[in-house]
Amino acid sequence: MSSESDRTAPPVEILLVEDNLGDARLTREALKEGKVYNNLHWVKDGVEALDFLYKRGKYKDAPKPDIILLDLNLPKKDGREVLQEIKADSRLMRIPVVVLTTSKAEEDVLKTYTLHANCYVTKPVDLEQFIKVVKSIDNFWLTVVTLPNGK
Amino acid sequence: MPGRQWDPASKAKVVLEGLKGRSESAICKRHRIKPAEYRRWRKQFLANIARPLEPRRSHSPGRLPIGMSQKVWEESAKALRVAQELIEALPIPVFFKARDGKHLGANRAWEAYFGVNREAFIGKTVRELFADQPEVAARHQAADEDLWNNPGTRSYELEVPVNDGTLRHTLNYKATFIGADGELAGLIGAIIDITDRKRAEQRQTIEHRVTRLLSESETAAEAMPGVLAAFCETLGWACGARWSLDPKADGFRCEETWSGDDPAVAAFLAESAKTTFRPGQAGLIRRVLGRGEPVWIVDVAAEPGFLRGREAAAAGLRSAFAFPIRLGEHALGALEFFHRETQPPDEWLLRTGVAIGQQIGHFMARAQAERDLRQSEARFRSLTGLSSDWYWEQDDEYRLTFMSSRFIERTGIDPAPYIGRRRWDQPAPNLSESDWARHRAQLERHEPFFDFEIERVTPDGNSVWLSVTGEPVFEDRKFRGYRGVGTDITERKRGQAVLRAAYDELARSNAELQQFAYVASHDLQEPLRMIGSYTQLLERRYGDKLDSDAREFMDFIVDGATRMKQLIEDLLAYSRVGTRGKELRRVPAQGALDRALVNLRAAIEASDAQITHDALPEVSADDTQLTQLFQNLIGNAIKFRKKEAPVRVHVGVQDSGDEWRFSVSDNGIGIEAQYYERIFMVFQRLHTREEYAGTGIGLAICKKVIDRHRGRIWVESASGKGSTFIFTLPKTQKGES
Repeated sequence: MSSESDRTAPPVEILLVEDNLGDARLTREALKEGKVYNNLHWVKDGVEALDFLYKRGKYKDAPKPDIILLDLNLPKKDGREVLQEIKADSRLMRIPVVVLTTSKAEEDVLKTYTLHANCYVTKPVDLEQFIKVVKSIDNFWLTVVTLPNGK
Repeated sequence: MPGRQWDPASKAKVVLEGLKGRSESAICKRHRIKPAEYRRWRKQFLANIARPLEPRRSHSPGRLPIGMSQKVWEESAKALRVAQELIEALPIPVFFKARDGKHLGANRAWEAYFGVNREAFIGKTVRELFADQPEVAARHQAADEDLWNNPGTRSYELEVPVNDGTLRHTLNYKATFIGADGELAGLIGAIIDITDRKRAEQRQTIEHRVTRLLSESETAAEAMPGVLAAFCETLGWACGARWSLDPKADGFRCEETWSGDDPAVAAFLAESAKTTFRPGQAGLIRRVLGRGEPVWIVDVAAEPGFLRGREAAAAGLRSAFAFPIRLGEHALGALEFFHRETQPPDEWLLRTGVAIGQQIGHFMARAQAERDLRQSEARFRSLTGLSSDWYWEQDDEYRLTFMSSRFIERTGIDPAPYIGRRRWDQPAPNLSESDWARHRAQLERHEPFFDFEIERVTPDGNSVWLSVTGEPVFEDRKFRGYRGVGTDITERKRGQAVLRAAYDELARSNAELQQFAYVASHDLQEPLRMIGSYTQLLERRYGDKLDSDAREFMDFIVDGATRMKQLIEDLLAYSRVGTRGKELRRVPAQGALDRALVNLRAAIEASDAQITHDALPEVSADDTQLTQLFQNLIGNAIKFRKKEAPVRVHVGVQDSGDEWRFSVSDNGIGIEAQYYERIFMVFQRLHTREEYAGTGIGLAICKKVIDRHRGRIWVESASGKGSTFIFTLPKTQKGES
């Protein structure tokens, strides 16, 4: 994938659902180092996330995200509920969801709930690792989403 | 009648033929005598024979009584003939005997009774008639002598052999008669068969004695010598013995004997008593027990089926008979008796024996039942005496009818108010209406019940807990009530309450702790992430503006945060062993090992480890945790390897009864004995992180997994010689179906 094609592609719309300012900022920083041209939309809780997805209130003009990065421990409405609603809605269910977890243990528990997240990522303490994670989301995106266009 | 001398007896025989109905001409022809001669004989005979039946009057034999006309004589003779016919027709045996002891005649009943024709009898003496029974002849002769000396009547009892060879009890009645010359001419005898009466008396005597003996005895052994004596003494048999089936020796054994005072007979019985006969051998007792019927041996010496024949004969015994002691169809033993004389089989005696045998059989069964009952009562007394439980009974209306004294001793509650009342008539704070209804329904279905717990309150307000167990009682299939036991479980209840409270407290505190561990470790991650990530971001963006010291410090910050995260992750994993474990079920241990090896593939390949294992069984386990267990132990074996040697790990298993004993052995660096305990504790390490990575959680998790499976884990090792970690898993887990 060359940088030429990056520029010709429209920006990838990323919805980050994250209440922690530090983590949100870190995600933004990591994405800056990635290759994908993106628009990062940041909402701070589950209610806001669903408003965004359903284009309600101040998100009337929000784009349909190409990928959702979903933190689990959210105020008002937590990540599990958000995930469930997304996967229950035929218009939203195809949007890839990357669940960001705090610990490996939490990830194991989540898997037992049979929530159909596309991928689970444990947030690392190490910045290098975190950048790797975001890059892997990059790669994931490029593989899954751009291949149909680029064939 | 040339060439033939007719003696009076021969003449009488000829006349008798006529009396029995043969025609005069036929008689004369047969004996070649003249009718006139025959008539003369007949006249003489009747005159002589009929004499005793005549009224006493003076007359002389052979002549007309003085002053009696021939016509009167003829008439008189005619009357006498009628009397003669009457005697002939009498149903009791009658005979005549002359003064010289020779028999003159007998009636048809006599012939039938003895099975002898009068022709063979007339003219014979009693000695000739009873040549085979000298004692019978002697008794008759003695009676006759007595009569000759003191004419009149006599009667005496005697056992005589009759037509079929059997012995009959007879009452012999004899009276003398005077001849025409006024001298004692002979005697007339009548025989009355009193066998039936005699036997009824004997049987009554025996039964009476046996019944008395049995009623006065507690065991068969006690009664039996008397029973044997009653039989022998009443019937004139020499000796007897009782035999019993001996299940232990698989044979039968002589239990008791009785013999008069004949030492030879006593010796014979003593010899018998030493022997245990086995079923299958021939013999008297075997035949009796085999058939369940009486057996008669006429002559023991001539009977090949009688094993002790020679010994018995040597002791002077001839006949034997034996009958079973029976209870219904079941033979419990046998009685045998011996006689000194040869005795023909006696149906009556055999029947009597069978009846007595049944009587003894019933007695033995009853005695056994009484012994069993006494033993059972003794057991019951012992049980109730030793047990802290009490015993109770209820009638068919569920009203308490009996409460053993242990109740008040144990509970301090007076049972009086409970007697005559139903269980639910008295308050029990622990039981609701529906509890009682359920209990009642169970009783009404006549089902047994177990450990029914009732709380009763004593008059002074104390709570007493009772546990009651009962079973229905049926008599003749009719429900009679309940009986059962009760136990005071107040102490246990109190203990349970205390334990329950402690358990609840522990469970609550455990849950709290786990929640705490989870939340704490979870929430600790975020600040750590901020510290680590932003320190790195700082270094990334502004590293070139910092000196090397600053960069080194920042490395320490990042390293610390990373380790802290690992510690938290491990702690979380450790706390999850208890809270997130799956149900224990039957799983193949091989599957868990395989998964562990897959998880360890990178480490195995990197170290070129050789891992072998035994055939592993199916176990009751949480297979995820079992996988983790193998993974941690094998992972350790690889991690703590010797630099110079290739890694060898063996997973073994041993069947040790109730549990499986697994082992994971390596050829690694080993562990010093002083650390055997410590290594299983959380975050306990024996090496620096620079030597071996890790937080020290692996074995602690193993220990926790094994604890949860109710097994044990320990290590056997020597420093430098490798380690063997051993853990056990119970073959069956509690609650497993």
